[in-house]
Amino acid sequence: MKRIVLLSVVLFAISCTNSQKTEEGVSQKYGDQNITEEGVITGEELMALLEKKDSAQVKVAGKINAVCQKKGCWMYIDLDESNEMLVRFMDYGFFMPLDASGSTAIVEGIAKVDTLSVAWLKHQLEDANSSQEEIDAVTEPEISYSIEEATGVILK
Amino acid sequence: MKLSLKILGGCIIASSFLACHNKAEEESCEVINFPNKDSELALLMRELSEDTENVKSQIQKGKTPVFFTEFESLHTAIPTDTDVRGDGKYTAFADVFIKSVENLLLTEDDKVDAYNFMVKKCVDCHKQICPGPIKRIRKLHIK
Repeated sequence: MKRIVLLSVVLFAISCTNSQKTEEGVSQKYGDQNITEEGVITGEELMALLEKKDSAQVKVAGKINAVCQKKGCWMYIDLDESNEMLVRFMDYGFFMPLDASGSTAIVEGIAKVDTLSVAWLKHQLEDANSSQEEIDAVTEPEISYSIEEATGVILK
Repeated sequence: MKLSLKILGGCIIASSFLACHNKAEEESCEVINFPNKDSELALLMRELSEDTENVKSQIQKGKTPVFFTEFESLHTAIPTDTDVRGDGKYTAFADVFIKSVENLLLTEDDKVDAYNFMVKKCVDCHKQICPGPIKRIRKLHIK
């Protein structure tokens, strides 16, 4: 009798634990609905890859540190503690939630080291509600890691 | 039935239910493309983009182009950035664009040239005001 009750309690507890884990893992997809986490690499791995080639088709994970505050039409993700990557979305066909900063994103697309024009950098600051002084201070293009046309994003 | 068997049975049923519930949760990875509130102008631009895709296809097939977008709404739709009309640039670009659409519909010359000119007017405006969709707009060109 005791064994049966113990077995029952263990079974029930396992079910509850699994349920909690799954709820924590709920994610949302943007763009390509067939995107999966298979083959995802880290920011460090991406940077190492781009030392050997000009561009690479990747699925990379990183924490979002900024999102366009007008529409959610671009975001920056951390590649490591001192490097970040600009992500824009294929055909302007999907955006990120305005409050997505701090979430982890898995982004699929062609990554490269890109030159961001002064016009783009100023526009980006406008989208981030920066001051006119900060916008006027941009006078030089910037070199940055970039996925210009991400095909899909999983947000966790 | 013994009480212990009843407890075991109950727990098995409850466990099965939770296991199924887990599976449903795992599969509930929802696809959302525009999670934020869109402005009237953003929605109008999306509609215009789809309309232009159709017009591109009509022209490529030698058919008469037909637009469904209400172009005058370009002057009245509420933009994402509320001060976009402040310096008059947007209004001027919108007027030039609407004229390029009228020209496309009325011209008896090459429709491809008139269409590409209209697409160029979209790009000219977006270069100045909202560069995000330029890459997408350039794909509308007929080569």
